[in-house]
Amino acid sequence: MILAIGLALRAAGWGLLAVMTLIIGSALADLAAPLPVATRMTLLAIAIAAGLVTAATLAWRDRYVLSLERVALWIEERFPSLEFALATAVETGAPAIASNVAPESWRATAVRRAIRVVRPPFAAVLVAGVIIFVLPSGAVARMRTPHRGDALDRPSRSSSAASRLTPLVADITPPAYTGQRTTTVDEPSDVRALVGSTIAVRGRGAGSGIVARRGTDSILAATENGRWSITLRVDARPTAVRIVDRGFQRIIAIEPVTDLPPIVSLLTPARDSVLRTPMGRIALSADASDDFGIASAAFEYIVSSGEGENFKFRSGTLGATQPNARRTTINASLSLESLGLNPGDIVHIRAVARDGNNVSGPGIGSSETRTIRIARHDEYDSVAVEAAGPSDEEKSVISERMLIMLAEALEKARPRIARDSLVSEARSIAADQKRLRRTVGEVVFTRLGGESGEEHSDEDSPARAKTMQDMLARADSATNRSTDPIDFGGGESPVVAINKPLLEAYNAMWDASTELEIAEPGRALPHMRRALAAIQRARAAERVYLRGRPPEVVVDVNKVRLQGKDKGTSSVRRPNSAADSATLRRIERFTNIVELVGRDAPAAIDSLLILRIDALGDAPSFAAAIGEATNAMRRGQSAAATEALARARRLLAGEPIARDSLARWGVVP
Amino acid sequence: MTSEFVFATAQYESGDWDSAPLLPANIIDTIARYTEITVAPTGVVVPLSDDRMLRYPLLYLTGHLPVRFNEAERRNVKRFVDRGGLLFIDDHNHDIDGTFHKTATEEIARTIAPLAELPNDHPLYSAFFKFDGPPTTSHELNGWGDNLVHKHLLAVQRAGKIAVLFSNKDYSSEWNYHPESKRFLTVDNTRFAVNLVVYALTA
Amino acid sequence: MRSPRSTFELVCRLAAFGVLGWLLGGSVMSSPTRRLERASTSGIAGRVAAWTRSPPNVRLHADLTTAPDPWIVDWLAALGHSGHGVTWSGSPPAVAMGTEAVADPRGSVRVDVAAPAHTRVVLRDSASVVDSVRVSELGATIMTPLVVGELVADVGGQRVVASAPDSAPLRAIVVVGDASWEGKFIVSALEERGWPVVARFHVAPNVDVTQGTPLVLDTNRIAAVVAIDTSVQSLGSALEHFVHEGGGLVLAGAASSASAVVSLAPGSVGARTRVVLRPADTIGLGTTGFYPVTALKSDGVILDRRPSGIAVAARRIGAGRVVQIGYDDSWRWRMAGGPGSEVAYRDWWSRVIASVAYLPGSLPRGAVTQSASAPLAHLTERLGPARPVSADRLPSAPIDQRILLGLIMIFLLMEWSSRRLRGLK
Repeated sequence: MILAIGLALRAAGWGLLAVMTLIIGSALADLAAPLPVATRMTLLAIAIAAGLVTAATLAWRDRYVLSLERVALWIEERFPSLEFALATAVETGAPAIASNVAPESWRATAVRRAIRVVRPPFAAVLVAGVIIFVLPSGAVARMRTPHRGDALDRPSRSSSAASRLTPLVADITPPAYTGQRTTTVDEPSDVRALVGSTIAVRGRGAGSGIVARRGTDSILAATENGRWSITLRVDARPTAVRIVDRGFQRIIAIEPVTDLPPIVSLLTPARDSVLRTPMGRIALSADASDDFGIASAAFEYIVSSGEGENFKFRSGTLGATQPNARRTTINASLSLESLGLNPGDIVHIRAVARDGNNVSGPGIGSSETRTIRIARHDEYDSVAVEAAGPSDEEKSVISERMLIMLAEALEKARPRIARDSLVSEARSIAADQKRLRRTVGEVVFTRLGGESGEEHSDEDSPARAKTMQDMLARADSATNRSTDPIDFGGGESPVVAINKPLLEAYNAMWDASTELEIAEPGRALPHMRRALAAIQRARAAERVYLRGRPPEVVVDVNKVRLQGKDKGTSSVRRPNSAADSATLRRIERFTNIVELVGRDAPAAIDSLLILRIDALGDAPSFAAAIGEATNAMRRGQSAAATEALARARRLLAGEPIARDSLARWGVVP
Repeated sequence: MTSEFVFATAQYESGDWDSAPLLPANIIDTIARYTEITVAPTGVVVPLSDDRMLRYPLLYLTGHLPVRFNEAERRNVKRFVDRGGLLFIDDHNHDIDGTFHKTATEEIARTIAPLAELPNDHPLYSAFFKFDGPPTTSHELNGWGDNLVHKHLLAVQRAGKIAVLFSNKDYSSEWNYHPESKRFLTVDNTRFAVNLVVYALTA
Repeated sequence: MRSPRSTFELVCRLAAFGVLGWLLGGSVMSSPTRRLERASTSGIAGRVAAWTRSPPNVRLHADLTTAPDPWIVDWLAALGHSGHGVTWSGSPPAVAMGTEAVADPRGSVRVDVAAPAHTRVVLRDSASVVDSVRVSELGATIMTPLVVGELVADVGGQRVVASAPDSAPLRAIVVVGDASWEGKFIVSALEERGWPVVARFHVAPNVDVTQGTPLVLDTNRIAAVVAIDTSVQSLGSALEHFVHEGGGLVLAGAASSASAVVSLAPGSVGARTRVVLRPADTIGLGTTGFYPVTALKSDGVILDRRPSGIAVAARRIGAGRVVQIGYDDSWRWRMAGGPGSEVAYRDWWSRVIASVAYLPGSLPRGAVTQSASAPLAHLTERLGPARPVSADRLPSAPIDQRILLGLIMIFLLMEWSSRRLRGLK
């Protein structure tokens, strides 16, 4: 046991010595030249590993001390008088064999031996301890617990006349609502922080005479425990802060990061709806996410009742939650009966989320709005087309008149263009014709309560009506109306009277598409003109608007020209300010700074930093290029800096225009 | 395509954008009566979500119902204003507490910038006819809507030029009649529209 | 009878004296033909100093692939004046560069580089590379919006230097026309660019919207007039006088058909081209049609030609310039064009104005010195034309004196060693 303890202490001692040696060596290296945090962390890990490996290796080598046989042999070797009685007793497991042996002398020998093996490592540890004691405390602390900001702990060998601005450390504390911890930056020159954060800039020495200048504001440094500090607040605008200590200066660029509002997506309902009766429940679901956390989220609805000039509005919220999480899903259920809706009422629904930003006000994000409309009583009895918002298809539909113009232009250009181009262009017109045909089809078939099937039938499907009469009969039968004439000529029902021209247009468009598909615009044109004439007749019949347009009044401009009784008076226009005035100033500054690079690179870098801050708000690409140039210049990478400056100048002033011959005239390209 | 002035009405998804269908013709008639500006005889309707809305640098938007831009509409409105267009919005409810006003001003603030009062000595009020401020409408005087006579229009200005003009005075009701009916009026109540169009074309 | 040893010693003594005599003779007598020193393009900068210390009878010749820097040429010329014969041979590229301020609030600079066809011109300034282009004909033109420090063009290894000119002083631009989107956006673009603008938009009889002081067309105050439509007629004959005095005139759309400007316009106005525009089409300059320039006058220059006709043409009238632009709704490009169209529109109109705007004649052209901006011309002017050195006039190379001294020492040493080693067993 005594030997075991001694050897264990020896292994631990050498292991400790290995750790202390490496730490002393690293501290001495750090004193000579400051080592980065990552390097010191690595060295510390290596030191600990070396200590453990050393101790483990020695312990493994001395493991025999745990073997009774080996210990017995060791004692026998030193006490020949035992004549192997002890070893025999251990081997045979018969302690009686050694019963007459006195162990006191072995114990003393073992103690002496233990002391002897422990003495060297602990002496060395003692010496190492003295060395560590002698070393500046900051040096050892930086190796023992390396962390950002410990640059200030590094022993200073500089005189009182030296700059107190090096080393420099900045602690960035985000606003409390973000829940984020303070981070530390060594030697800050460019700090990105959330609006509302505080930045504590710290350095060594007393703070008297150290001042930070930000615009027209000056902030004096405070002193505590032999360290000076200046606290700055991050505003919404980028700024450059100059910290001045006598003749020395450091510039820190503060780039504010804006807390973005939450992003909200309404999952259900997925689209707008028109309901016949205000009954049932509508499931509402939305996703919300935020960069720091959502403080509250809910569904908002607005009910609009009325028509013409008389409207009343009610609003409310549903499903309000306070998730306090970065992502959340909110759900609710909207009972239509509870809203007391009437025919014609409209419900607008959206999801809204607010973040916890209590610095610049909560950021509010909202989803798209869904509309649920309760159909009016007469809505399904009329072919009147509500001038509702355009569907996606309607936005891309061009008029029949325009299609005719395109086909005419193509037919005229036909002798001059290649066959491939003709086919491609004709098919493009055919595709537009098909879209318009579908629109007409939907007006006719869907509104009449029929299935949407006609348009979606295969061209050769037996379901497709082959003749006009067939089509009319289908349209008629779909309406459930009596075909007795009411007040229309020709004995046709109002449905048929209105839709017959549309059906004719529909069929003509089909024929036109067929001709266009085979690149025969000339043969398509008669069909297209027939379709146009039919559409115009249908429009004249009643309020049918293929694109939801209200009736137009055409003004006879020539007739009313200058018929007004009153006369106007001349007026003065105010000049616009130059959009480029900021750019012009920036160009001048950029030019001056680049010319400074060759003479005074550090001053040029500082000036570029300030220029970058000025440009962050309205020219972020240019600011980014300047940032790259500045970083490259700091690293001494002149090629990268030149390339970044070239990019910056193009972003700032525009691209040059180059011609491969001498321009005869001016600069118009 | 010629370069005449075309009166354009903005169509948006969330509300009754066509609540003043006769207004375009009335304004066109007014422009022709007092100026020599080349003007198209009919107006156009252009969806805000369609890129074609950029072809009409003066857009008129009105309605009674909530205004909620979808992503395409918001993107286009921003581009429209950034490129120099003028968006004229009129609250057809004439109700500063109403949903159209609240939602439309919110959408404009979110998309472009918050609206601010336009001074009554702005060049808009002297661009053609002389006004001391925005002309009062009959609906204001009749106590319609919010029962107020609004002394100012609201605007978002860019480099000193109006980019968005917002009215609570219900010009949509005031001007929404057939131009033939002008002959019954002692004073033409659409004259302010001339200022608006002349300002848009020259500012 | 001499022994071989003593004969050897005698020969060594005679050889040493012979070499010594050669040295003495060489230093006293002048060589029948002059010595020639040569250097190539890469080494000449380091040789001129040494050449300066060489005696006047040394001829100096440079084998040049590119013209050296002006200071080297001047140095060689000075050596020539001091008695050295200085010649050069080779084919340095004939390159020259000129810079000119562009009438632009941004301070753009136009750089013309004359260079042989198919050579690559790389233009740099103190900040970075500006641009590069391969010459197709006589040279290249680069317009750069920003110049930092000196401009240096590198043409196949030949370096040409010029300094940026001072900015051109700005004068106002006058815009006249009926109240329209085109007028509004042209004025906006020019003002956004930084041009001071005097405008007059016609709205109704005796009703105009104006900006700036009343129109007096004077090149001291006005750089150019932009006419949007035929209402330019109202400027009358003052416009013609203005152009003859050096003012610029831009006739947009159908403005060229106004009688007051018919004689000034580069051509007549054709029927407007009609274009069918699909909803999804992106609008660019000219995609919505234009008034083509027809019956181009003999001194007219085509600047923009499209399949439907000439869209932009220009012409000089007296000291002034006139540009006829067929586009009457370029504003659509700004409003409804692709991304960046508002900047492109602004830049385009600024270039149009720069093409015609009045510039004072005494504006400095920006050449640093002709020597730097036209190196071959400078070389030829100072040293004369290229003269290759003929082979039969090449003298033999002189023997290095150190070798001769070494030989003397060797001979004397051998003679002395032989005497000292006599009798050595």
